[in-house]
Amino acid sequence: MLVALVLTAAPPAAAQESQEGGPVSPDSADAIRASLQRPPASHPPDERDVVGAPLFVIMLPLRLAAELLSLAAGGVSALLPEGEGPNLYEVLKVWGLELSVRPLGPGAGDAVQARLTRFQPFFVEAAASVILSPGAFRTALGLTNEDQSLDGGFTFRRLTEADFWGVGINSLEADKSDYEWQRAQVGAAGHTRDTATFRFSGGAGWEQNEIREGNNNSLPGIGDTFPLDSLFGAQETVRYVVGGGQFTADFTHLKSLQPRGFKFIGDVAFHGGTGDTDSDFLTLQGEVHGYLPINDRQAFALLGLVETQPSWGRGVPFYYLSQLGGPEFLRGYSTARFRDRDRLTWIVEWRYEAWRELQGRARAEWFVFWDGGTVAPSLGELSDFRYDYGFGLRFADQNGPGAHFFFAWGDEGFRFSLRLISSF
Amino acid sequence: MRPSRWSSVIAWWGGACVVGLTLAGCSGLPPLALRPQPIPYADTLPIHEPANLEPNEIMPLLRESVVGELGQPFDPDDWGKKNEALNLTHFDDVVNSAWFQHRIMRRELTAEEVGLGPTAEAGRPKPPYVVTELKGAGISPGWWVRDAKGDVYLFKFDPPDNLYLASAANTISDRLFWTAGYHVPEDYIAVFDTASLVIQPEGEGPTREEVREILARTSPLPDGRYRAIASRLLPGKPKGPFRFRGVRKDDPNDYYLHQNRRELRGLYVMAAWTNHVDIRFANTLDVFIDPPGFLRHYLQDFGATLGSGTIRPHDPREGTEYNFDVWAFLARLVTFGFYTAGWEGVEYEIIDPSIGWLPVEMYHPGRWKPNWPNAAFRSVTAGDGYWGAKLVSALGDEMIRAAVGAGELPSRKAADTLTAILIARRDKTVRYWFDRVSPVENVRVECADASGDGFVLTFEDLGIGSGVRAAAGTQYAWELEDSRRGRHWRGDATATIRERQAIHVVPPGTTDSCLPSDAPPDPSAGGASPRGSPGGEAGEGEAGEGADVTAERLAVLRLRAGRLPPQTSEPRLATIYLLWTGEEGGYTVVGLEH
Repeated sequence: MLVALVLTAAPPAAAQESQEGGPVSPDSADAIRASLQRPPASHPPDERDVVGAPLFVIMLPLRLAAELLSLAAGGVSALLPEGEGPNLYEVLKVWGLELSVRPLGPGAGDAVQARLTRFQPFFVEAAASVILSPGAFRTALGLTNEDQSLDGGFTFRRLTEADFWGVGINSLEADKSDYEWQRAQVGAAGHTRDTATFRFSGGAGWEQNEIREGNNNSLPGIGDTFPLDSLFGAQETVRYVVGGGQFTADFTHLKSLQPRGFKFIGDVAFHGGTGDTDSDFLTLQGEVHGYLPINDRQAFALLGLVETQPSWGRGVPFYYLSQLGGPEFLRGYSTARFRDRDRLTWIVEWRYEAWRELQGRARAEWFVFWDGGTVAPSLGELSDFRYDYGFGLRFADQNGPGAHFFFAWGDEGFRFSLRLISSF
Repeated sequence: MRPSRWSSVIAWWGGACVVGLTLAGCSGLPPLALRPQPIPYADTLPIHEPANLEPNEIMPLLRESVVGELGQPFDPDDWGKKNEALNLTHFDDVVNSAWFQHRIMRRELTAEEVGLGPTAEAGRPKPPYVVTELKGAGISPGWWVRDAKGDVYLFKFDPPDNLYLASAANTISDRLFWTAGYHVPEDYIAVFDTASLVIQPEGEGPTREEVREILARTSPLPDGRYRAIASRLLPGKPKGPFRFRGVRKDDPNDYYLHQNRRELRGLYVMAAWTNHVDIRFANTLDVFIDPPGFLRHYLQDFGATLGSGTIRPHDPREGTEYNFDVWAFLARLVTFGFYTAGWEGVEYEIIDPSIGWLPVEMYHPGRWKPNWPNAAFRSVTAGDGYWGAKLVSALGDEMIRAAVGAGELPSRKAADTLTAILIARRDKTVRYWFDRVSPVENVRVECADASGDGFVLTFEDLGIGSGVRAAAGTQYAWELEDSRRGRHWRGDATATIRERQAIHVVPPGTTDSCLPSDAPPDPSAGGASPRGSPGGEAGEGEAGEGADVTAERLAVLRLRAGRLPPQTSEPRLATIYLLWTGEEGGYTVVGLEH
């Protein structure tokens, strides 16, 4: 009888009367629904399900990975502009709070930075990195306008498990040891905005560095492996006044979100010892980037870098020596795997588009790379080059390349790295 | 001899399969004619008012794009596209429901009806328009207005360089999907001057400046007025989008898994024909109709259909590659970027600024892709595609012309061009899907011989009836299987130019002189509708209704329609279920499956 109530082709409103003639309520409709004889709602099990069981297990890791990726993307999309649902990014922007990602120096990983610009031209910013580093933060106050900014701030960085293999390109993998490096900096810096072809930034400040025992109990401390007397900076607190600048001549442009052209970067930094620190050194670095497109989807990208560190007094503290290895240079090796006063390194990448958002607002490109480089006491002694190779995926939007990950292989094994920003 | 490792594995799995089959019952689905049929409007029973869902779309889109796509080769359900839709009548159709309302499949609509679609003159927006709210989600600029009648509309505008583009596409597709049977909103073309806009006092609605900003993202018509698509607010309370996978948990009426619904699988064919690349759950809406209190499921926002990409013309990639196509992504990885998809070499030329880009040559009805994959489209079988193609084929040239007319394109030439393109795409679509099955419909047993020594089976061949195949090159091969009566007959026949085809189902070595009539089918006896399925709903006017359909009394006749030139793939057999009614008259048709 109940079944007959809905066995009709009449419009929906006419099918809503119960067997007593009164209206059907949501609760009484449950009984009707339960009584209906209908085809199955889903396919009954058959032999394919038996075959499918092991395949399901095979696919499980992919399913889990995709679920995590989906969750992450869903979370990020709630933060970004034009996302659906609550948009934290927009809410914060109304309050003059801008979130971004920035580096906090070598070994400190990528930090999340919040900048409050509600009271322009003044701003307050704070950045913290706790995920990829045991702890690094920076606070700053500043002035900014369309083209320039001036800020003064305090940065503290504490690397509790910094690794050290000795000095030179031939340092041994077996000599790996660790130390803790604490650095506190106060300073001021001025920047031109990133819109011009030529940009300059400069700054000055004061810093104090201390080295302690590392926290990694599975590794020997540097004092257990190396004579500390031979490592300037390992036993004493070192204080410097610091001044420096960076000049950039940027002849690149984005076409279809693909960088094209050349960029030259020159860096100079002077560390002058203060108090009982008998050490002064200059760091001079030149870097060139070249982006040579084959078409809108494929390009060669080249990077070359040379660095030298003339010094006076006791020289360069071991933690300020030029480094190779890590997520930026010689990526198939551990971070700071090789150190010495001078370095030469290069990157050759073949980049090719893997995906482009339909509206052209974002793209992703695969890249395969070959890195090479060496460190030496002086540029004239550069030899014994190390090499690695690998591949990765990099995302880009109208602001240029951004988050990326890669897999790299060097003489000492395989490395994976994920970063939220990209400088190349 | 010791068994090899592989033979051990196989033996183990053999045992596991037996256990698995036993535990699972593994009978699979019974034949279509022995299954219960879906019940019309069963999903319009009252329910408690569900929540308004506003899910984040990124997660399901990514899940479908990655797990859905990569998982397909590992999913036995998808091997050979074996899993058919489930909400099927005995004649391979769906019933009217909160999802679908038979329109063109049940009667011949006039071109005028198609041109109007869901709209009515009384529903057309009337100025002045009070701007009540800015449009939220989506990429096209717009605002909500309340018109002189008090009705609420969403006004959306065309891109400045392509006036008419999105508004025309939206309106035309709205008519086409309505005609096919889907629930869609009333979409009108509204042309107005700014003097007809009423800006509310500050704090009660968008400011004059905000309204101007929206207008600055389009262009006025040459006479200074503005043109918008005016989508009337749907009756009822919006409750969020529906998905193409699973069921909505707070809707007890939602019975069939969405990926197993024929309407949603067959929607693929309509979407492909109209190039509805933006079909994803953000462009659907569940609306709570109260009273009586049920969810009706709407398709909405057709701005990215035909040649329109909403804010720009479509480009060749759309329709051929997903927005994130994991296979292309991987193909580019392993070929160092040298893999190029077919669309990458296509000469891209806008047909007309008001039409955009809508290909015919490179359009492939079976390989077409929306911007985002979904589970229902991934599950499409030849049967689902054929069902969708029947909807498309039912739209005659004049109906298409009427739908295009609703778009109020700027010139006769543009309207004629778009009509011609849609007709060409329709023919391509119909040919493709009709070739994948044996498209017989309105099957009848005639000249039945109570002695059981033979009968004539007559039917319509939609391949011939729709004009995509000729009778001259068509041959039917058939096989009757009736184990109870010991009949295993087979034979073949040649198609004729008559409207109804006939095969003489007789024992081997005998002939039958019975001549079937050429009369149109009698609807009261399992009669015909314009596109084949018996008229009315399941259980109503169906041949064999009331008969006791059991496996013992059921015979099956399988029929293949072979064509010359041959189909690109072997067509599926049509399975015709025959009920033995005994001495009263032999067999009667009680089911049909493609």
